[in-house]
Amino acid sequence: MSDDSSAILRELMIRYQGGDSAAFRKLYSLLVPAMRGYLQTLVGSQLVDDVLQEAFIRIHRVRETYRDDAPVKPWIYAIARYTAIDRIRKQQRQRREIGDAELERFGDENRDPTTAIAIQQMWQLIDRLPESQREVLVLQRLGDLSIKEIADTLQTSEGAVKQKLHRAYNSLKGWLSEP
Amino acid sequence: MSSIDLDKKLDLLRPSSDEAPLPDALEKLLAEDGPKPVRALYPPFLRLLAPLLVALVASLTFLLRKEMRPDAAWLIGLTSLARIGFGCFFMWLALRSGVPGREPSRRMLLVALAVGAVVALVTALLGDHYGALRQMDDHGPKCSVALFGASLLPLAAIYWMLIRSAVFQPLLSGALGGLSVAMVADAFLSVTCPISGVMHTLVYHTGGTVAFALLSGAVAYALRRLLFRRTQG
Repeated sequence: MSDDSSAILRELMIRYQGGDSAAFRKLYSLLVPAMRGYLQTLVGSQLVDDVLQEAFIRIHRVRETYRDDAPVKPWIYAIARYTAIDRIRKQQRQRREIGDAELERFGDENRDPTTAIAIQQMWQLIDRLPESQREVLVLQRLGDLSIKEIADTLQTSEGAVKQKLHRAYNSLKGWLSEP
Repeated sequence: MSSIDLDKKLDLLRPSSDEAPLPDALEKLLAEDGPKPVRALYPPFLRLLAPLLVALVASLTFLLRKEMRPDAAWLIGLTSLARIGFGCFFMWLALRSGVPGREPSRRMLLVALAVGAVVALVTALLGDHYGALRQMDDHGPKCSVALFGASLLPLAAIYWMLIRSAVFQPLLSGALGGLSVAMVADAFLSVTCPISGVMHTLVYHTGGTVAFALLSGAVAYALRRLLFRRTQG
């Protein structure tokens, strides 16, 4: 994640804490596409919009707990993750398989069919990863979080994140090389 | 498959940056409260001053009315200070557990608990030097009851701080809060307790501290919807 976009998010968050609803709208629009992708890997496509909305309601309720000396993304993604975990517990459901119906939400409907198929194939491979590896990969590639931010979000060490990413990339490379 | 090819394929997954309008429920939420301006929470090391002050005052008034141990000066100098120091550290961890993205990691918790256990054992052994006071007697349960009594008010102060933050793991936050205030209370209790035996210290003081922490975690979890309704749905 670039320093510029991190500074923009921080600035928006401070304005939002100050009562600026336009800053909240901007934050939402900047963060929601990647967050939807991340949450979809946790709860599946049927629940993702509900969980996303619930996550932002919680973000709004506890907005004073954000401190401006910290990056915004770990704070927001941690709340989103807790919301997803709560929902999973509530529903007592297992992760879903990514199907055709989810392609539209993960990718961009306007992309050409070849790209759309490539995206679908990538998601199918990512879905084969163990859950912990999948989560760090999605946070890095979709959420654009740094190693440190992923570690903060998941309450783990940077070394553990690096190890999981390394294993995830190796598995993906291996699967993509298969004939 | 090279790293560059994999990177290109993974880049395809990045979502487009189209403007996403707020859903109706969020529009309604904003319309209802403004949104009201809020003041960011102070950092945990500042917020712990209030519960720490309550813990010190409660322990002093509740426990130091009793007669001090003959070797109390020595104990205050070392073992009690170590317990208070660890109590402050766990208080800091408890308050951090209420800030999303800043929660203590599993490794940090494991290291803190392991070091805390060693400190508890060492302080129990160090305190066990006053020969005449080594016998176990029926005083033990009184120590645990006193520990619980002196910890209740500081625990309420910790809970008050946690209610005002964002607790998503009530069991953990409650247990850390309970552990921290019980450690501070035990630092003062040790000064007045007439029994210095290792078993007495480990069972009724350290054991009482751990039991209070578990109880506090269980209460926070059981009452999570009441206490932490902003984060618990």
